[in-house]
Amino acid sequence: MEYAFEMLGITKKFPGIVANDNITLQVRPQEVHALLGENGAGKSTLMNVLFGLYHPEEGEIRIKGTPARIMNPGDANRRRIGMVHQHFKLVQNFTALENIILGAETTRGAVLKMDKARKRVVEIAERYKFNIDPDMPVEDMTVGMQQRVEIMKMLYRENEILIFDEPTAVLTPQEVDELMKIIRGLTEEGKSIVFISHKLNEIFRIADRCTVLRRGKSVGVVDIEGATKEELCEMMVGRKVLLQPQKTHVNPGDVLMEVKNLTVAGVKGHKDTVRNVSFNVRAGEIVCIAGIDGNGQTELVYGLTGMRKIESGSMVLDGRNCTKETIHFRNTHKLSHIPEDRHKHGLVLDYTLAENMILQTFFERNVSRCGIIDYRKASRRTDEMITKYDIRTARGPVTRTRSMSGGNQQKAIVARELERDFAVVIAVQPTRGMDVGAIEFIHKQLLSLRDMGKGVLLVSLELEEVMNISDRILVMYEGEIVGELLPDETDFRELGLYMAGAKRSDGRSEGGTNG
Amino acid sequence: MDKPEKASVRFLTSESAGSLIAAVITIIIGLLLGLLILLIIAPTIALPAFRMLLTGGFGKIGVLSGIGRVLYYAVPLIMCGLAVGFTLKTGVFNIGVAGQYVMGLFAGLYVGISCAGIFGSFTWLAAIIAGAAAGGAWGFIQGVLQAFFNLNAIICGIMMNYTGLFLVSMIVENSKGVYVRGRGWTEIVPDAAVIPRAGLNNLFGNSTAANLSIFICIALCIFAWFILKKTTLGYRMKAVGLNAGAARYAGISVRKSILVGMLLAGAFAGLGGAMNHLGASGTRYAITDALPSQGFAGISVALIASSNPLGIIISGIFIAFLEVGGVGMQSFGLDPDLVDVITSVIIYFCAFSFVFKYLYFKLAARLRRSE
Amino acid sequence: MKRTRILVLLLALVLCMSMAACGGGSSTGGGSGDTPAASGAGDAGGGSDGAQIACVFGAGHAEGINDKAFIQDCWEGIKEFGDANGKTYAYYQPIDDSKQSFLDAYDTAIKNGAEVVLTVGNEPSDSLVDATRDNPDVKFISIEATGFEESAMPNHYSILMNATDAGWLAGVAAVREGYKSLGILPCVAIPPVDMWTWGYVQGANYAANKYGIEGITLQHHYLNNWSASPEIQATAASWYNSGVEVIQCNTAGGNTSIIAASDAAGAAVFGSDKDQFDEGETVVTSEVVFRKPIVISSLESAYDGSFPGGTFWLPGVEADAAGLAMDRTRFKNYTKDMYDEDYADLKNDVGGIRSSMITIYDIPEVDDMWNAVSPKYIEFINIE
Repeated sequence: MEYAFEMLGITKKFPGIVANDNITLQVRPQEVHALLGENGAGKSTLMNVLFGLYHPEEGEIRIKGTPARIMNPGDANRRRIGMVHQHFKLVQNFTALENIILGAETTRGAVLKMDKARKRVVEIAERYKFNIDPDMPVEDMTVGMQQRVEIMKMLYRENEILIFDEPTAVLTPQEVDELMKIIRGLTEEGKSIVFISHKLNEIFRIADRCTVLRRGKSVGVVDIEGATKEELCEMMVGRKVLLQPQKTHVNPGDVLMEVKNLTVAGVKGHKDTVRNVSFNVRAGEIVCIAGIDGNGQTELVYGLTGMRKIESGSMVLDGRNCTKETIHFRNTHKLSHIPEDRHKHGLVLDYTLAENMILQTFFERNVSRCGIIDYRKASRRTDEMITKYDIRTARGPVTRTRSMSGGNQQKAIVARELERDFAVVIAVQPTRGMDVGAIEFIHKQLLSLRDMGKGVLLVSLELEEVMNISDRILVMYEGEIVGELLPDETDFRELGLYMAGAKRSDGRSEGGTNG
Repeated sequence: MDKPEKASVRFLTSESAGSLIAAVITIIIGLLLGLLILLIIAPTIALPAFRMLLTGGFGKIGVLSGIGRVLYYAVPLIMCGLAVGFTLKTGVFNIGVAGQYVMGLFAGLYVGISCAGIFGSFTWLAAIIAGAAAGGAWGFIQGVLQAFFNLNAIICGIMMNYTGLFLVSMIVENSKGVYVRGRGWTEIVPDAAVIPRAGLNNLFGNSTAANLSIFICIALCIFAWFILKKTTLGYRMKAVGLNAGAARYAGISVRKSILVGMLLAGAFAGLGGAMNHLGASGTRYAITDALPSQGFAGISVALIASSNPLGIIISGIFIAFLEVGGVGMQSFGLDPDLVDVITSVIIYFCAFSFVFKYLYFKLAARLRRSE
Repeated sequence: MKRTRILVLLLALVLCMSMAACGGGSSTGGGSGDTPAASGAGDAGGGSDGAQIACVFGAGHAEGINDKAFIQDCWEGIKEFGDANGKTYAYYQPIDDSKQSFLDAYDTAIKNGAEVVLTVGNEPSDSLVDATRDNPDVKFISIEATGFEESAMPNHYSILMNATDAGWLAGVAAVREGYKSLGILPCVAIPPVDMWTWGYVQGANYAANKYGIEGITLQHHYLNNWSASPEIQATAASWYNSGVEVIQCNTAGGNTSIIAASDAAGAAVFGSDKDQFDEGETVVTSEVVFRKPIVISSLESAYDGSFPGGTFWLPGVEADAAGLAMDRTRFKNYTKDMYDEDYADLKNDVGGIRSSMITIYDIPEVDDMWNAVSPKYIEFINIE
């Protein structure tokens, strides 16, 4: 049978590592083919080869049976291959229309001919039932809309082979539904889809077949119908993985952190202001702040950690009123923080791993004396954490953090923050960029800390994670807490409604019994 | 994790080795370019003139005498290099080094000339301490402007340069006993204020001016290196320089780091100014409205050495070496600008040291992985 | 990717260039100013090792032997002498203006074969004391160094051009030409420079008195800089803006900046040191001292056995070594005849003008000069 395209025996090497080792990927026409694998398994590399960004050492690519050499993305485009990246490539202050035609403008001489382009865009939008306003600037759009613009880019260029790289990372449940429908529609129109993901649920919803990669090799191709999640997981990781962490019931203890009427200013005029938020975190519980990205979670965390000033209200941690205290004070008085942006805040990328691991503790008595840092001790401690958290590095504690993969960098931050002395840890997207095996481990750690009586304030966009490990869920919408839910008593639908602001509970949002 | 590495490999791939090798490559390429320019413009004398530059003119003036000279002229260059390099680690480009240098030289001269009675034979020590203090204070002011008022570092620095320069002119002009009216310069530096020769005159010949200052320079460079590499202060400063956001997240006070960095940098520059004018038999300061070139040469010194304090010792000595050779090179009849061009091209190349460092690390990574 | 890298390198290069250009002038800092890019081996003879005559001048002169002023003047004299008498010559600019740097420069020169060291300017003054003492076999000729009026070492011939004479003639010419609002922009407060000013003031005063011209005003400001720079140009421009009609330059390499300001304002400027007629369109004349012949004659004496070591010479109009560049001028009212008249009056000390003139011997401190000269017929505005 003729495949839409094939990648046969692709081998791609980088100095010291074989990113793709004799991988074969065959995608049938009008099929949704999932590409599953851990971080570093080689999924992105393989797609970059297809897209012409890398040239393989061995192997060949065939499109509709004919061998093809793809030297650069221009070639890929000409062969009707398109890609929606995880981080959108849109110009924020251009309109949808301008973004769609960017790079493929119709011109007469040097003058843009927009009418023809506009007609086509509107045509395509109608055909696929996308409702986007071609003249709306991208910066005003929701993430879901932006993603549709990205898809439109591909359709405008009449791409037949569409690659989606982790498309659901930033979508609400409702938007994910929409996307699934669109993808179905696209295959009905004759497109072939490659769906890169590490989220098993979605793969099971949408994919026909799935190729699993592990450490650069293809482990197998599976028909989704008839396969199980556990099976795929095991193929991906190489061992059995517990998808649902085992949560024991713990009775929450004293209040560790009390937040009352907290107001934090956002960027001027932005709706991210935190408005009058109150809640608490007790010993032995994981409280999760759920919500669509951009509804005040970031500012809330900044206010709690001291990175932004608290306008009004109070935060009491471990019995101390920290409202006006410095970041340093909070860090040394029982607060740990896994930050949202690991590059901007979590790590000094040009430091070695060992230097990053002491970022919060370099002044403590067991790391430095009289102002002189004992790097040997720091190294040893780092080695311990490397082993415990399975952080993959090129050279151990002296590895330059910049050279580590995103997932491993995140592991390092998590290791650092969880291995400190704290009462409450604020973990923002702690498992971002990690693969199933690592996620399993981190969840285990969080749960065991909770079992030991620590408090965890989790901020997450991954609904699975939210439901799996939280004890209480607080939904934030437009800077306020609009609902408190218990995972056992709610479901994704309801969560989605709260997150979209469509539902609010009128009860108060302070959890459990107050102290 | 794979097998532990050999110590040699670890060194070769360390930051210091990278800086060193980059500096060496920079210098070699710069020299070759200089030779090329000479060959194009003055082919007949290109080689002998270049040899003069390369040997620092040591052939004519004698090796020991030459070394002595180089060690004398290197002092302000090394100190200004430190002043720039040290703050570069905190992410601040201290272009105000010239102003701090002037404040330092002024304080040094002032104390040296006026206070000889008070301090006796230790006047020189008091004077250079005064120089460091004045430079440090001036740098601190710049730091305050940057850290608390968020003013742009470059604008601050340039403005402080001129403010310092003219302030010094003003004070000197009105200082009886320090200023020589009708001559436009300061008095001769009294013997008590001259920095001791520390036996270097026996080593390099009485006519050379090398003195204790070079030892102070080297000691301070080692001190600066130690701070950066081993101490919590250095850790904080580097973190702020590399990623101010992460530093803040970790509770490090960005402001304090900048202030301390500028204070120390100013002190280094000021000390350099004081030592330069109190070495040899003392140098008068002539009122001028031109900023001292040593300040800006310090930028080159720092960049060639990738801001590594140990490397700054070497790059400072190197540029001093070029200066000494440059004087001799003039005798070949080159256009005066040409001598400047050649030595400047070599210094310009310091901007490329980071390129070479980058290339070196890629190569080293490749070698390491293939083990 | 590659293109961005090249762009970054280019930007880095430009940044570095502007950095190096920022510094003041030393022989390794980048020099600013409009110096011609002469062909490399062209200007200084003796293109190989060894030079019998060494010219040494201060580090602050960025243009060096191309400064179109006094250094160039002396250098041309050396060249002429050297070429005519088969002597090799070279210049040595020290690393900075410290005494030590000058001593090092002399040392380099002497080890390179110098038999005669000719210094130009006031900066070498300190170093000459030691150098002449420590090198008794080398002859030192200092032009414009100070401190040796009373005594010097036997191998040291100290010459200071009597610029007061030239200044006097310039002052007279300015007033007789009809300028009322006068300005003087000298570089530094040192005698070789101030002498021009003292002469100028006394000359203008004399002319105002003799010809009964009223309303003459005078401004004066030390620039503290002798290389061409935009700051100098701006200062001159602001003076012209405020009504000054003619500025007397006296700032060596910086003259070109003042001339540029004058051209831009369509005003008038007097050059100094050399005939600077060609430097601008509004250069009316130049007050000059003729260093070249003096240099040549002193070099001759160094080689023919008549070296007047240990003495001090102040050559002026009596040796026809000072005056105005009258070959080409842009004067409208002041004629060559008028000049010759004034020149003769001065030279012949008519009415005791010359003998009563305040010169370097009389003034220990600059301040007193203004009092001593006390020009009754000129009003001082803004002397600093």
